[in-house]
Amino acid sequence: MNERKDIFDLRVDCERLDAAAAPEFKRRAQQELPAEQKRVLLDLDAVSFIDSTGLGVLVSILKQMGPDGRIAVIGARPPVRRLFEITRLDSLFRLYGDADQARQALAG
Amino acid sequence: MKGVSRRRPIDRLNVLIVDDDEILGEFIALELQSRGCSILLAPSGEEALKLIGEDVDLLLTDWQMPGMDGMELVRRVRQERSGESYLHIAMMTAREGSGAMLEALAAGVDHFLYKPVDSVQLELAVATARRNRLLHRRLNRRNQLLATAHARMRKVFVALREDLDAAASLHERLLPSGRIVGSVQQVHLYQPALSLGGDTIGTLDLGEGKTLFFMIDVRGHGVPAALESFHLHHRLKGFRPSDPAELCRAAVGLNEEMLQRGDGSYATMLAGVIDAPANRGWIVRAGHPPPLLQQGTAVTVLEQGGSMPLGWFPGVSYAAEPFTFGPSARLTVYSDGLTDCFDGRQSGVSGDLYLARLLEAGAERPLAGFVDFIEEGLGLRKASPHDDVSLLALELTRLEDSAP
Repeated sequence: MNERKDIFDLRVDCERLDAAAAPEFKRRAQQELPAEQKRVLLDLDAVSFIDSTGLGVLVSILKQMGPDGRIAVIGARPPVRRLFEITRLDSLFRLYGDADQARQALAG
Repeated sequence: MKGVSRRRPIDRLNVLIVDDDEILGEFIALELQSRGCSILLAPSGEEALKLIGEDVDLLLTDWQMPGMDGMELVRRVRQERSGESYLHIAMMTAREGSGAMLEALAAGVDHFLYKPVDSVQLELAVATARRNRLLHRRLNRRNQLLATAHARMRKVFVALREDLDAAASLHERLLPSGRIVGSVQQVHLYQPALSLGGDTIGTLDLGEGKTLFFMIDVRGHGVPAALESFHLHHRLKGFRPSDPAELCRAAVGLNEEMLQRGDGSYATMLAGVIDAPANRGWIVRAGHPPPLLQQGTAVTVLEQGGSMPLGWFPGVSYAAEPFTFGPSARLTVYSDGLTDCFDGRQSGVSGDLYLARLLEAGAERPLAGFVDFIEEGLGLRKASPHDDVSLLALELTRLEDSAP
């Protein structure tokens, strides 16, 4: 098995990751994410709102990476950060203030 | 034979020639007959009006005639003819001024033939009429097909609409009914984004002064989300959790059941039990916004011990958070749709915080007017929410509430 522990940069480009935009983002992520990729840096800087469908897509990407998969999030704005806290997704998607911190954590 | 309609040969053109000059009329008739046309001849406008039927494709009329002239004939024919059949009108004229020509166009003339009329002009008039008739018939057939398809779709839509309304009605029957459940007063707000919502609210009298309450928000909207929330509502009531351990077991059970289905569906849930005689309660929170516990103007967010939504990951454990619930306490449970539809960009305050402040401001308001107060305060009546909006507020019953 060729697990990829290098870091793959994934950015959400839409302002609202909702039922309208989330399926397209999911399709793109599934296409672009290499097989066996285990480390992803997820940039949510552009996103001001995530609904339940958008949140489900983020979880599905983590599941796609398997049990050893790790996703570090940067650029989470307060409403997004709050949503991660309420759903306890912050225990799986670690939130970081900047990309360097996140890369160090993913590499460690 | 049913379903088979008789059609004329597509290239035969029915022509009505109107001319007070009998010789010229006969000449044109001969020319057009040799081009595959069926001919009717009228010596005047008045006679033409009697002869013309819906099957005439081309009206070829002289302009200057005794009695009703060509212009008047065209006006009358255009007025009386239905929009369904095509009629091409050609007017024979000596050179008229441009004003008269424009007037003729406005009256409904499509084509002019200049005297002396020759075979080339006739050929052109017939070819144009034939082509336009063909296009008109194709358009009519397509319109008929579209109308038939539309009628069928309309029928299906009406049936679907009735089904949806019936389902929405069933779904809403699950909502808390009555002002009191067990030892608790209740009010709720339920506003689905579509006719069917993925949110559900439930309360259940467990006896011995205990009341179960819950709110579930299934991912997405519409029929699939509504069916899932309908199912979860009944499953949770079936568990009848009445203490902290049973609340946790119910959450674990629902989580595993959703995962077993493996359809990617998930839900947030807040479930709790109020033990009125003991003035206490417990909540289990699965990815749901934390409820607000109010004692006078003091509003506390019950956000300890929350866990992940149901249906995400196996093996998730849930913890029950205790709270004190005395006679003057009010508990407000809400879905994220409530606070998401508040636009905090102008005030710079999040929906959660704004709701908490609103509760503080409305501390003195009785529970009966609470929903109106929240709707007004969050501007819900003006907004068209993108998500289902749900709210449940609970207080202990007072002595006067129990009085007959």
